[in-house]
Amino acid sequence: MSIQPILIAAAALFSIGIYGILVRRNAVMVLLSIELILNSVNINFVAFNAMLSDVFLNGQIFSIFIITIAAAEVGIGLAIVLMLFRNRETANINEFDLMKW
Amino acid sequence: MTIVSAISLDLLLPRKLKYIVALVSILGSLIAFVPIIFQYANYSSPEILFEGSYVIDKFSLILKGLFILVTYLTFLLSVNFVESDEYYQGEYYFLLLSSLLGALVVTSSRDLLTMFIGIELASTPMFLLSGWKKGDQKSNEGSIKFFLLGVLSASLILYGFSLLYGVTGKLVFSDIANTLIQSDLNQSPVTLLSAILILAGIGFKISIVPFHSWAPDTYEGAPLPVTAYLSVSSKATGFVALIILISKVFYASGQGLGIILVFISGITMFVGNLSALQQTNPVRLLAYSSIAQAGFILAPMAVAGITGNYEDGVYASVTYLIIYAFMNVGAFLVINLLQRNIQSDDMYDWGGLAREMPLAGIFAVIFFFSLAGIPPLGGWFAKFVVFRSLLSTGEIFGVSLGIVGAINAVIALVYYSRVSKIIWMDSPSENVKSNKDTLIPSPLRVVGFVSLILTIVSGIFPGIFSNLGEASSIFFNS
Repeated sequence: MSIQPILIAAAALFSIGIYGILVRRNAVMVLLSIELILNSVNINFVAFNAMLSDVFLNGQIFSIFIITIAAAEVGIGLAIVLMLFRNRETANINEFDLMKW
Repeated sequence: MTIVSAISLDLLLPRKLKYIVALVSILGSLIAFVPIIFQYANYSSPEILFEGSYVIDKFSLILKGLFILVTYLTFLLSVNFVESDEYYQGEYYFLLLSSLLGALVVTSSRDLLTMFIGIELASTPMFLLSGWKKGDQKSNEGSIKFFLLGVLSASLILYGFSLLYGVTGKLVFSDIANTLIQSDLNQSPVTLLSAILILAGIGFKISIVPFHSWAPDTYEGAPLPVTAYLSVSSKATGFVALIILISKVFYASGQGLGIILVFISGITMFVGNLSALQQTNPVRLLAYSSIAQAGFILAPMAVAGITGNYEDGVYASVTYLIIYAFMNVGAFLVINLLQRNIQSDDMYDWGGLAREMPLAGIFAVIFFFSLAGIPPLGGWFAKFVVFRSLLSTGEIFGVSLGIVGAINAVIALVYYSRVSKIIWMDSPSENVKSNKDTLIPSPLRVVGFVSLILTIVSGIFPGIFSNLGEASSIFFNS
């Protein structure tokens, strides 16, 4: 099986994630976009691992680490968003403009 | 390894008792410093663990020492701060210690996985710490900005790593570099793309210019000791990762990357300094100044990428990093001291404060002039090393970057000396009340004198620090 379609899918996922971060206004949706990017990286690693038929399974191990760390990060992110929501009653990142320059 | 075990032991203890925690953390970080000195003194050859993915050599030992010392100073800065409000203390120290552990892992990491985990471990606790003041909206806002950009940067780094793995099939840096050379992939678009993605990701951590926008907001919102830690240790972690990656993985394909870095470094200096000129909030001023300093630290590495003389570049960058760390901690200490007396975000309210608090005034003059690079303080030697490494190459890029740096050193002097002028010469402001809190608590006194001594000694006897820098760069010959 050729690897190009998988890589293109991963790159598309990556681009959608970046687009989501730039365009989405809700902090939770931005978090989800970041998850998309991390998953595109996972796809990349697993695909490369299969392509290279790496006997040490480096790519797969790496993607397991990424999943774990992504979970920890989303936990922290949701905690911060929750804290913001309590103080401001909004999760819209456009309204976080107390500090400029 | 002793270092890591000492720290992990330290990590387990802090959860038990509220008031012992601070003491244990402070002593623990001091104790962790001891094995580093012994290992450095008995150093014979690099110790290679886990098939080359974790290496203890002089470079990593020196930087480990730096990180531990800076964290120790941050703890001392924090004691009075954490006690002054009612938030639970234990996790504060625990989070700072885990961040320290991450930084220590990064200095020794020699493969993609270890480095990624180190970077994450170093930066993730900082997201929480920067939002420590839970009721304060500025702190909340700084925290969410830092978090979103921090995670985005981590994913950019990861995408770059995945491309690197796909091209070479290896994770250990030396294997990757060998494979890149053997299969002649050093100038290929994939390698350059992955290098740029990694550079963008680390650029967020070290706040170089297109990626700096989070820094002033987060610095302003975060508690002051955390800000000091962010601007010194967190930034140094990013630089260490960048130095290792450039000189271990991309050394053969450095040409294109070097030119990009030269431009970034020049623009970073200008943007940082020109924005700092118009700041009235002292913390934001230091934030922009630390962006400008990042440009200075990056400059030798950028030029080294073009000329291929990494030994010199690493030497200059590491020396600058070490000296910068102590004078910046000192500068934040000064702001901390003055804000204890007059609680104001506007530094023009600080007029004549030095007459009330002469010691703080002296600290202010010394640290701010050292940041500006006035001899005989440490800052001048750091700047001297950087300029020497830029100019001695004779490359057109090196020389022009040197000129840009010289212009920026002058711009920086304006706002650094303005702070001292306000504190010493202006008449007291009438719209703010002084707390008459001129007493300096002893932990802060210790921080002040330790950074003061290190700053002055590095200026008068630069030999000590240049030895450290040289020792750290020798390793990169291999």
